[in-house]
Amino acid sequence: MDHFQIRPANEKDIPFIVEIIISAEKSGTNTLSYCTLFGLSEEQAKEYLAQMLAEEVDDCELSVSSYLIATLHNEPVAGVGAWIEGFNGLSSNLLKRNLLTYTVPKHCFEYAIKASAAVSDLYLPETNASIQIGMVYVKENFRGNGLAPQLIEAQIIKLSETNSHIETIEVQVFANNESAIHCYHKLGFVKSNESISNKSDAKHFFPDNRKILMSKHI
Amino acid sequence: MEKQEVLEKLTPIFRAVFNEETIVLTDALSANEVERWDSLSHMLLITEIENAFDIKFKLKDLNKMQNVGDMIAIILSKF
Repeated sequence: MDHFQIRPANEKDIPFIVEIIISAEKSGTNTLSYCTLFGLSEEQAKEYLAQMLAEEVDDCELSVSSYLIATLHNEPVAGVGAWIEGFNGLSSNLLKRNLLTYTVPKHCFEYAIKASAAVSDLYLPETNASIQIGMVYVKENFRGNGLAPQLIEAQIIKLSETNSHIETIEVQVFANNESAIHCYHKLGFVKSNESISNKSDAKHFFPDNRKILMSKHI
Repeated sequence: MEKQEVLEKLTPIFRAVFNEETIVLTDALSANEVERWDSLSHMLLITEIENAFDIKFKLKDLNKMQNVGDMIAIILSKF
């Protein structure tokens, strides 16, 4: 039987974390919002994601320190990003915005403004001081081993052990991602909010025009 | 560079980025008070400011900017 190890991510995992983010963002489709929003190729998006991860900003989806990695024979096969929202006084959304501002060329922002209506329609605010499950990914050949729930549980234990005041865990998923929603249901998450964009181009920019917030109380 | 000079240069940038000719900048003004000040327009705002003042913000500068007052203080620190 395969014996998987779970460990915190480090700088050497950046290429794999980029793979995690890209796959999780696509949510089972071919639509990568970093490309559709900013007019980037997937290669460019990968390059900028790696640069942002190398900045060592904590407490958001673009933080190496947010990730736990599952390995088999020292090779990364799955990963989950999670953090405490607003841990250092800044929201994860703001940290991500600043990393993008710092890294991505200006003409990309001008491109992205066209999508701003759909972006704001789908925005669901993260609850301050909650655990945010950000990015979940298992390499295709290793699915069916229960790695995603194991990593999510490991993140919850890690973050709640050092932050005893935490009461809520949240995850945001696109409504098309039925397997993820099923997995979170099995872990005790329930739907607590949703956002819908009726803009005709929402599905051009994002994997779906409906996003669901699922929560669990500790 | 004086604070007043920064304000005079910042005001038209804010008005153009947010397409709102009546914006009056105060130290306390933040994204909460300006309807169009979202993540994407903030990115554009920052790059317009960098171009106008010929400066480059560090990532830690961006993380300190909670309102216009913070922004002005950081811009002044570059001169």
